[in-house]
Amino acid sequence: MGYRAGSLKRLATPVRVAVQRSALVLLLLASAAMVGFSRADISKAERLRMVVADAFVPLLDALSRPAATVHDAIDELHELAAIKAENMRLRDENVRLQHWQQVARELDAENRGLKDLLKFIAPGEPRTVAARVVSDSSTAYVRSVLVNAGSDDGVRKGQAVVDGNGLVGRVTEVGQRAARVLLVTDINSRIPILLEATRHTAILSGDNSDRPKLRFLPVEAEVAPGDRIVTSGHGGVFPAGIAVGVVAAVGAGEVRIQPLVNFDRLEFVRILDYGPDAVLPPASVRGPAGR
Amino acid sequence: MITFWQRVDHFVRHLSPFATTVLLVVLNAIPLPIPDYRTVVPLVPLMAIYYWAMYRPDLMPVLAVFIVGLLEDVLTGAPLGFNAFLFLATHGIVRSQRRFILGHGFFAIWAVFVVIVAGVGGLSWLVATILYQGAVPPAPAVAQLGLTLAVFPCVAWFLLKVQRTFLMRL
Repeated sequence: MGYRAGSLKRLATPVRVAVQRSALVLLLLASAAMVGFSRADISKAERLRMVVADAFVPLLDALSRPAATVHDAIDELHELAAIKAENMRLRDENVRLQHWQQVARELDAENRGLKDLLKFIAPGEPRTVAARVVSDSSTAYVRSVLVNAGSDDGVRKGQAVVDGNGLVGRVTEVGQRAARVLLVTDINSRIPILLEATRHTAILSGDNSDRPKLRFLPVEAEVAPGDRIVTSGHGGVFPAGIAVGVVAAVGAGEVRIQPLVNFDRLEFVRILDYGPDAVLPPASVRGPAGR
Repeated sequence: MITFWQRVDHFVRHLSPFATTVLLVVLNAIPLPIPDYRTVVPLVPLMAIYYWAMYRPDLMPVLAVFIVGLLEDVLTGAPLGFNAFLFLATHGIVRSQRRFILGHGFFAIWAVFVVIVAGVGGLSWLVATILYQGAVPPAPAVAQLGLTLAVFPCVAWFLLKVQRTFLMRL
């Protein structure tokens, strides 16, 4: 009996090695095929990815909370140290903001009066879905994040994603409980924008750096560092008027934009939902102006 | 006589290389509030693949490597199959050369990891350039590879602890 078991083992070992070898080659081929396939048939690859993402989102959600808590605690300590200076700054800001509130109220009243005169029907406010960033899936080649809201919450592909400061990106893949958000800095991100002051249109084109650049800006457009840019709503992908960033640098034939969103500290985002077949109206919900 | 619980114990211990690798993949995907960390986050999962292929290839079947690769693809948003390919290639190369490398101590292991990381980095950059039809800035990738090499001894130390704790007698 012992002898037979031994001979079986002697036979089994080379077989196992051969199986392992061929499995390695087969799986290597399968992986290479998948890379090609994921480019050819994007929708099927996406569905498969989101199934896995759905399964892992609860775990990621749980694990990312302690990290967030620790960084909140550190922030708090920093803030405690600078509390007096911060207080002074806030007082100043408060005075300024009260003035702006006054202006806004007057403009609002005037706006309402004018709308009444014109019988203007205001576009509906978007429903927003709040979500937490649970996985920062950015690498040297991709700038995207996973959030813990999906089709169950009404998230759909193409929706704009914002945080308190401005535009974060757009939804590119949706699972039941998770969605992938392509950040505006990603090399595949193209967003129609306009210069807030001069109304010149251009395309904000990410290149995986922290500062995406403007393309197709008209030659006659005058830009200076500090100019704000907002989404134009052209192409129907994004609602118009979402704050995106400010012009950071104007170089030789190249304009770089500093996004308003701090992508290093992205924690909560809102996904704007204008209903299934909405013609995208101007964003009536916007972040505070500037940084 | 092997009892039921001994079987369970045995099974769980055998699972530890795969489990630690999955754990590192998931931990690596968690957002940390460090400026620019996202773009240069070290390739920790690759270290685990490398380590287990080097020390316990018997407990890390190629199918497990494939699954870990796909998980990494999903969580990092890379094209599906991309990391699976890199991990499998790393696993295959290390597995075939491990007897030779293991004889030369930890510095040889680290040195070979440098070669693997350079290969993985070069291939990633090439594939990204082809997929995005244009040159991708190489600076973050270079920083990422440097950080990966620097962090390797720490991760290797952690995996060594795991190996000593769970797999001493296996």
